Amino acid sequence: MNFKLRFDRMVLATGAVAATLLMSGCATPPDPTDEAAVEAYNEANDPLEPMNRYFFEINHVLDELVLKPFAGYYHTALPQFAQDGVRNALRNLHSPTIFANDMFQGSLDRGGVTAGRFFINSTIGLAGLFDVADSFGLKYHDEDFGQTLGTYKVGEGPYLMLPVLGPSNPRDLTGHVVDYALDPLTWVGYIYNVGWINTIRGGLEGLDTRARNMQAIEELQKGSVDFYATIRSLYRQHRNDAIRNGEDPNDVISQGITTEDQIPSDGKDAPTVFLLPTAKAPDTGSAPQGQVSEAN
Amino acid sequence: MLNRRAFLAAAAAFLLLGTDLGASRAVAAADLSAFVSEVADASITELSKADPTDPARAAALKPVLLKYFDMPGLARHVLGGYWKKISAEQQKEFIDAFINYVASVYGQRFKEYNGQKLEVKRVRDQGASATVFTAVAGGDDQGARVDWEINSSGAQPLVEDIRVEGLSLADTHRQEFTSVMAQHGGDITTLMGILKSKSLVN
Repeated sequence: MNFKLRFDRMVLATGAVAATLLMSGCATPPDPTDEAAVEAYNEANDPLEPMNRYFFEINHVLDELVLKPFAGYYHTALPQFAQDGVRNALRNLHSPTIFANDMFQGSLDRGGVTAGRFFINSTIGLAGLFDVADSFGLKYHDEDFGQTLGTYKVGEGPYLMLPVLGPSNPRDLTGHVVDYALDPLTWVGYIYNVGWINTIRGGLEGLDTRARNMQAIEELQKGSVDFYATIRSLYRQHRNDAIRNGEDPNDVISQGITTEDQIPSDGKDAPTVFLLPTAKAPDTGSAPQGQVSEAN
Repeated sequence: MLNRRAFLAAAAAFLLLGTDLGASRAVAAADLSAFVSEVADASITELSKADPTDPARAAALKPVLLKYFDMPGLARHVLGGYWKKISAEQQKEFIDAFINYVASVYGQRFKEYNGQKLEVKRVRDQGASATVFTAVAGGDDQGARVDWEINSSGAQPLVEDIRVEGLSLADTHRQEFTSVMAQHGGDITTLMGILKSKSLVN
């Protein structure tokens, strides 16, 4: 009760800070006669830049104080197989939402892979600790509702830097909310009053991702001219790549169907592709040869 | 009769030209694949010969950039609309500073190199430009997709951009460079200062 009250107050206070920042946080649009500045402003698609930069700084401080040290301990204290086990289990818990989004995107093949992985890894893989399905050729892929919206051509909207949660945009934020509601664990937590399991899961996910990218983030930051703008650009490019499931932008005709499927590289025996809306998209799961789409 | 002969000659010429073009394009695709492998090999060879220090790595990468990459084109791209707003003298200075910066930042990343191999998967030749799709695998990593944008209009092909897992080098730097330029009202002094402070070669 006491905790809840404190939490509510915290939410209110954060809300008030956010509202104040939102009012003062809008970037001043550039002088319309300055073509270069207008171009840069439009490319950045970041009208809330001052507020976003503020939260970026806060997140950066939180990272330095909390996440980075813990991720460091985690990385050094836990042997590699244990870290892999944690990641496998976390990924396995996401299977229901990944499966739902595979279905929303009409990717029956990828949905089949996700379902197969879930059953194999939850049983033989000992509650997901071992990724046995991977050795059966069922490779992991990620999907979320933000990506699903993207495949239906929903625009990303202006860039957002969320406190604690990091880079996002209205489309992906909506996706997060929908995924949260789609996730069976959310309801398990709610019905059995064990919401803490989701808090722990979220924390572990942050820790695992941070630990795995320790060196990459450090080098990115060291080499970057404007770290905020670098992260903004990388986030956007990564999301666009994930929406295309790692396929080449020029090749994608519609979700799951690429020009590769229509015109073989040797120019012979063009296969018949039925472009019916409900038809099974050919060769969705296996990205064009060599496109290692591990995390899409 | 003459007309018919002229038509036939034209048709023959067209056909010949057509096949000729087709042949040269097929060769070009193989060439582009070899070109990308050559760039990767050159980088790895030069970098492995270098002393294991960051300045040495930067110095080793610089000639590779100058030989195989369209550095002036990249420099123009990353400045966006601000390129046209600076003087010819500043453009020249910026290209030099940019090359040193890229060599320094990316040279350091080669210290993680542990035997990964590059495999060309597909070449999309579009005449003046081409994309070579490759996969880097081996070592401890899970592997990564690397796409090379090639400008093949000149005498020698040049790399215009590299995309790793869909993340473009040219576009990422463009966002950060134009962001710094916008914050300083289009004055390049600050950006030049930052580039020089991060450079380990001259």
